[in-house]
Amino acid sequence: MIKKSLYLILAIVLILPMVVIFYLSLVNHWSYPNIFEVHISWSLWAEFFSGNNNIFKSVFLSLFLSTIIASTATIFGFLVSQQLYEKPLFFKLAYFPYLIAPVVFGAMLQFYFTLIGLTGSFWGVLLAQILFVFPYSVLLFSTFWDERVRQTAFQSTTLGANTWEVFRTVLLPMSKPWIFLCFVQCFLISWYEYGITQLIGIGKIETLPIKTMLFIKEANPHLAALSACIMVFPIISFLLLNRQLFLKKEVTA
Amino acid sequence: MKKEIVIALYFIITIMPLFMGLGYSVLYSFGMVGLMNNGFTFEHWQKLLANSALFTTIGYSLYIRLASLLFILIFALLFSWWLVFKKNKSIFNLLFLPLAFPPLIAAFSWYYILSPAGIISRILYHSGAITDISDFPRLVNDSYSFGIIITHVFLIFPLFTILFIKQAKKERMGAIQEISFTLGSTKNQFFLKVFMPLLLKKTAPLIILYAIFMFGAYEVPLLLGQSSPRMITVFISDKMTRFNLQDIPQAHAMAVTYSVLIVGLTTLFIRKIKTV
Repeated sequence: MIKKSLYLILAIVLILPMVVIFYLSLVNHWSYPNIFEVHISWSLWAEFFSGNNNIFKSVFLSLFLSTIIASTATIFGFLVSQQLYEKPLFFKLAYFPYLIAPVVFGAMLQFYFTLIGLTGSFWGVLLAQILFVFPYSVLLFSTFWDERVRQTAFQSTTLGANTWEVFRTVLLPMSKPWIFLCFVQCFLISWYEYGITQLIGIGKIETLPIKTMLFIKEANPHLAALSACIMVFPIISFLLLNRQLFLKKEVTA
Repeated sequence: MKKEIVIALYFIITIMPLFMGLGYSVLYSFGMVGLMNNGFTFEHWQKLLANSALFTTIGYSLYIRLASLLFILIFALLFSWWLVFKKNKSIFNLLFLPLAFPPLIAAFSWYYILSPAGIISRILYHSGAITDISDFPRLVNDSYSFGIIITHVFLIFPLFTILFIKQAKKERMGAIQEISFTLGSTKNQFFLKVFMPLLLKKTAPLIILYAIFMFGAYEVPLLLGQSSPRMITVFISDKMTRFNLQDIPQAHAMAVTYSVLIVGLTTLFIRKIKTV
């Protein structure tokens, strides 16, 4: 009985935050002590899909930024981890920038960004995110380069394959799961990043998390909830299809 | 040659910015660079120590970290214990949901669950447990930081539950349990003397890593915390971005303290961490 009740509480705790943001995006006000408002409407969603509120712009900006970060980080992680295989201590150096809170990292580096004129610009935010996403991608790829992969590549070379052929026919097919995993993980880190984007972008680069926080600060929970749903729901759907991807991210973190 | 270039690039991106940032913050905190500074001084560090901001902020961050970690581990051990031996697929699947929640959105949602105008308060009002919004206890922006701890637990305990379940399967916990029962141990004895210590020991590096990681929590305390005391990250970003230029050197001093602490702890435990 106790166990069943605890399971029920657990299920509610896990689902409730999602229900709350969805519900808040469907109402225009939520007066106390009503639990449910009479007027439920899709007006905020309709506005979003018709492009009338500027959340749409933030979605594209976030998509663009996260895609660039994820693509470059995946290539960087692959190339660097290949060279660091015999130096495991070098791999561990990647933990340092990754474990320091991005917002503090950004605060310490803000001077240099101002110096080169990147504060408040898209490229500044891109560079700032790169500084902690790239080390993460190296950490992720570090599990790929084991003895088996290296021996297979070595044997291909012995049998006459050139560097490009080894990459195309051996390394690329073998590393596909890592490439996919790294891309998704780096995309997510960038997609959800708030602290360093706010600090280096000084609020001018309105990615989806920045926009959401802006709505929260303006005491507009309904638009904030809409923005939150747009940020989270596609990821949850993707998660339900590929649970392992998310687990790997958290394990590395 | 190519190898050297790639490794150099790795150092330029990974380690160099850290040293550059730390170096600048050290210089700023000792008055050697920056707008309002006039040369080497201990003044900013003394100020930070004098108004006890340094110890309060570090102490508060430690409290949040330890309290969150304690509850995360208790819940994760309890639910993994149940789910390992009696599979409940729907609950197991639900555990993946918080992994897709960024801290910012989790904090926002929990604010509307726990605040005096939130869902719990409304349900209690309708059930007659409270008669006015002011009867509801403060669970967000409160002095014990319940809101922050609950949100952290929501975000991280499912992950640890999943990890404990996986680890328990790897350790063949079912077989170990059978042997223990054959040898006469009770369920409680098995949980306390085998299940819990084995899982905690096997996942210790990850738990430590997460403890370090949680020191840098930002969005959750920003939304659900009080204005004083503040977590280290909120303290630094507040002082750094406010209009009072006199505060900036103190923010840098705090950033130096935080970074040295994180780098020190990571160095201490890095040998225990298997590379990913």
